Amino acid sequence: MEELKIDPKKVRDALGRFAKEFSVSSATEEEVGLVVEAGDGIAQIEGLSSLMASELVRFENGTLGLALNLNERKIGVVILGDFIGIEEGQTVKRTGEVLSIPVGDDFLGRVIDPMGNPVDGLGQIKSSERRVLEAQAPNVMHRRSVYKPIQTGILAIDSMTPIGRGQRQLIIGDRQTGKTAIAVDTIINQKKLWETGDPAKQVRCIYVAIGQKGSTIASVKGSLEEAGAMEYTTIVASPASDSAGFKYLAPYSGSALGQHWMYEGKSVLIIFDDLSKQAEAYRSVSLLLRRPPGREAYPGDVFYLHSRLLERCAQLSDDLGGGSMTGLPLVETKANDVSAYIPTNVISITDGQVFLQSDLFNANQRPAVDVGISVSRVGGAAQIPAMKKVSGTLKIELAQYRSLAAFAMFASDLDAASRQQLDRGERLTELLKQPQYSPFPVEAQVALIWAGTNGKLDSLPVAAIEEFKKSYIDYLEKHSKVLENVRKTGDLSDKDLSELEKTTDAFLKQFTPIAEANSNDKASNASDEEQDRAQEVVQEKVVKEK
Amino acid sequence: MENKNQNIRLFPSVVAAKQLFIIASTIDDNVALGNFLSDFSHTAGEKQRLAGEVFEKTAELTKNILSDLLVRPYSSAKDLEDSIEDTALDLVFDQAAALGILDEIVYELNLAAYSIKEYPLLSEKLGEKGVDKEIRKSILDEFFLDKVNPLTLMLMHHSTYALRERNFVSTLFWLVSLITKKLNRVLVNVTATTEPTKDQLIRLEKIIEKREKKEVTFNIIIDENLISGMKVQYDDTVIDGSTSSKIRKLKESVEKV
Repeated sequence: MEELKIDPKKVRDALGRFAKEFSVSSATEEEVGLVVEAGDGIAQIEGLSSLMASELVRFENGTLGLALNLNERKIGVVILGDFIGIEEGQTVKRTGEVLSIPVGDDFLGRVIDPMGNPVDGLGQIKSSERRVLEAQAPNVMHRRSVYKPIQTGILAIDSMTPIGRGQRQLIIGDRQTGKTAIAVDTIINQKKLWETGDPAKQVRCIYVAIGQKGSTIASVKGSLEEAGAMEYTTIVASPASDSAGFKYLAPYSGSALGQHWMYEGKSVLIIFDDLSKQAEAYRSVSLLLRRPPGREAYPGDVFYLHSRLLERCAQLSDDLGGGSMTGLPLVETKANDVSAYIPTNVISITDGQVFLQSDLFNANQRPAVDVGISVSRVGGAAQIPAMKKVSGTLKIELAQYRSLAAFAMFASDLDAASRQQLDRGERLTELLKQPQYSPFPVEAQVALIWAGTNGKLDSLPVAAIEEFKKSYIDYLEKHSKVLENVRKTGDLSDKDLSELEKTTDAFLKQFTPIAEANSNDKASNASDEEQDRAQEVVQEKVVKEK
Repeated sequence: MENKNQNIRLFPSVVAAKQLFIIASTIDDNVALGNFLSDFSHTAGEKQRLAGEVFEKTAELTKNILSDLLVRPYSSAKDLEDSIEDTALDLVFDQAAALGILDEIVYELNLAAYSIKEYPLLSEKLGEKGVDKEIRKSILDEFFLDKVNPLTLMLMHHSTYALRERNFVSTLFWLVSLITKKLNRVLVNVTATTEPTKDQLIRLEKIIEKREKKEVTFNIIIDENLISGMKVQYDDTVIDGSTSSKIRKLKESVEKV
């Protein structure tokens, strides 16, 4: 390998050239204030009487600050970055700019910090445009109602709590109930649409990680990369080690990036993981700025913090290009309590919620969607006709099953109709189970739900449902055109229905679940084991007697 | 001169101002008292009664002003302190204006602020909460007693006596800006390596007068550290055309490369 040589003369010449060419055109004019207090990521400043709210200021060490409190004599500033070198008595300069980040398509596939700087080590991101973080949400005349679906690929959601483009659907639940998994699955499910290359179908995704462990963010990135979903995704990362100021701003940065695409007529999916941590960060900033604390010590404007953020998600009118931004905010509850301050706030702002229950999760019902209290207020309008046709009775059947199952726990004898309803419910519940990173295309979901609600699974053992799902879809792809028709038209015609019926019956005739075969094997294995055990007991007795 | 200064101290408005400064400082030191006097759950009568007991030995004018201020609503004790301090400052400024010495005071305060700023240890001690307030006051006396107008010294005493989480030097600059606003004037600090020429100052005066629409007063500071050029500062604005600033910018630029 050739040795790297640095010629000091060349360096000297280059610096000399640089100094020669450098020109400060004339005297510079700046507005200057003084730091009177600094600590915990907050600085109090005196002077700068004409500073605007949310304006950026620059400290002596080059770090930026965001003016949040404009009092008569002092200005409270959140330090955005390293606050170690900021001391009392230092000067602070106005920048005349409000907080903005660079935006553009070059951000796809990248991981950035809340200021728009890349943190993935893949070099600088070229961008000629910037967008302010505190932009106004589109007004009423700029919007149209939600009409296009966004498919999550998750049976339990797309069938019962559908999400439309431009909708805000809250994903809420205790820790470790699979909230992030649903968000990541939804991103992965957009891959096929991205591959079509059709801008009207493509969905750009933004994953905003707020206050999470660095390792968790890395694992989400890894999963997206593995699934080939990073190509159309941007991750805005503000890990737990970031200052509260960054955590509070991260969702706005992601939203600014998404709004840029939305106003270009593109569809965007933005995930805020999670808003409870953002609210906590905002609470600490507010308390340090000595704003009066309210309920749970949150400041009075914590509702506005979330409402102004989520209001930016919209389906724009055709005059404005018809772009959309769909928001999936995540909120963590404690002990499934949805009546806490932040959960109730966000529930009231969003257009519906997917509630994840830890009990269901522990009972291996995954995704642990509680169908009873999950709702979608506008998504139904965006469901494809085929899904509407087949999923109409699903929610009711499951609700009836739940109430009957609770009742059946105390009953010894059940009539045939109740028994049948219980069996159906059990199979439907099993049908809705879905492993992570395996989203179903919408046509497959239609076929599966049709089979479930039309009693086609009633004859199958519950353990065979998982296997049924895979084999059934493969069989339909090979032996009928129903899936293709649904994919193309979005509807399920009478002709398709009769074909689906025939093909399903034909499939069920030849379908022998491996689970069933295994259970026969297991039964014979079990008897062998019992014999072995009996022999061991005899042996033990002999040893003890001796 | 000595007699005139003595007289100023005895003017009722000056006495009241001095007492109000002490009251603001006492409320700042005593959280419970501040909370009681600013808490809207207590009636104005209750607050006035307590203030009357605590500040019993104050002049009649001071009592009247305080009673009037306590009737108004405040969201925190700090707001009440600000209100008392503002009233006291108005009393001092109005008295000084009546005596025609407001110009003198602003000049002295500005000069004092710049001089103390040059000595970081001194400025630190005068703004240090840990140092006893009487000691801070006596440090100021050592340097400025009988060398500045008694009202200037009174304002400086208040700046170090009632720190109220403020930087001493910046409090002086804040007072300067308050007075210049009152005089509808702008105080321009011109820092240069040599005394600026008359032509330069006239040009500068025209520019700033046009911008600010106020009369201009210059304060010239000679500082060889600028190397060459000039630095102009008024209110929060700094126009820096010095060589030292250009070199600093070049250094920052090279560091970025």
